[in-house]
Amino acid sequence: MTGDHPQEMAATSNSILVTDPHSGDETSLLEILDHVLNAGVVIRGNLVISLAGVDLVYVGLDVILTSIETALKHLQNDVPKPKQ
Amino acid sequence: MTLLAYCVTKTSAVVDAPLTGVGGSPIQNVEHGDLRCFVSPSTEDSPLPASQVRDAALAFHRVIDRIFDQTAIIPFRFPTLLPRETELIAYLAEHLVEYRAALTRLRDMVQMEIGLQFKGSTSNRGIAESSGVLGAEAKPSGTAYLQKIRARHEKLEVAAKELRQACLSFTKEWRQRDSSEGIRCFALVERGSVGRFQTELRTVGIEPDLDARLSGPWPASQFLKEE
Repeated sequence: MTGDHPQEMAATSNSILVTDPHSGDETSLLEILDHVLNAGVVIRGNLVISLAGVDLVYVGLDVILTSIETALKHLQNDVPKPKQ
Repeated sequence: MTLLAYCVTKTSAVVDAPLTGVGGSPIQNVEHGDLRCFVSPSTEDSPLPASQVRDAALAFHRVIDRIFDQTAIIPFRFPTLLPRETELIAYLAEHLVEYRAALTRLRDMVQMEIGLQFKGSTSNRGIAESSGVLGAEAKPSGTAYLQKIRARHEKLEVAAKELRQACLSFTKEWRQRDSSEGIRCFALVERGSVGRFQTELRTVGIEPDLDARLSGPWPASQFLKEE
């Protein structure tokens, strides 16, 4: 669809901002990340995220994956509360 | 071997897929019936570092975008990881009829999105503050808050209706939903009409206190199910 995209990075007219996902500017990057993480179909699967060499998240087959953010929410809800 | 799933196409689509995907892993095909899923191997021994999520997500997007440029796709959210190929095949088998129908129906279609919101306001807290719900002089403000929320929503609805009307001749379907910021509108548009769709929307006047942002073309993920 390259031929359908305006070549300019973004244009405004009467307050409507037209962003091109291929432009590479910050707004477009945010749009892309929003789509990649929040659009599309979900499937069951595994996910491990590590930070500084420590595995933070392991989502088993019983949890529907949506996005990293959502997966983290699932995991936070599933973590047993410390005993008082 | 764990697989990172990118998107599904029909096997009949001739696609020149990228050679590599996230983390430089080779892009491979898994087929079932007339569905083809693009995947890349991922090892559980090397989990995704949180610091690299953004780069990985963008690499994921590049693969999807390249394939979407050539044919209709059903994208997976990032990261969709499956422990074995057999489970991906089982998933494709389960959704074979549904995905086949969607890919046929959306063959020449793309999704354009319009985000509508009030300028400089992204949450109801701002409305609450301006209505006096939060703060010392808060007493009569519950009703005012709700009225203001309703008035704002109605204004967004009117703007969405005007936008929809303006691009009616280029839009096959239109869906919209409320978001935390305002309203998100999704237009199903033929690939060849994207330029005219954008041109048409540029002519629409928007209330000065509203922001409207148009983006796309995207895979038609909001239109996979018929309504």
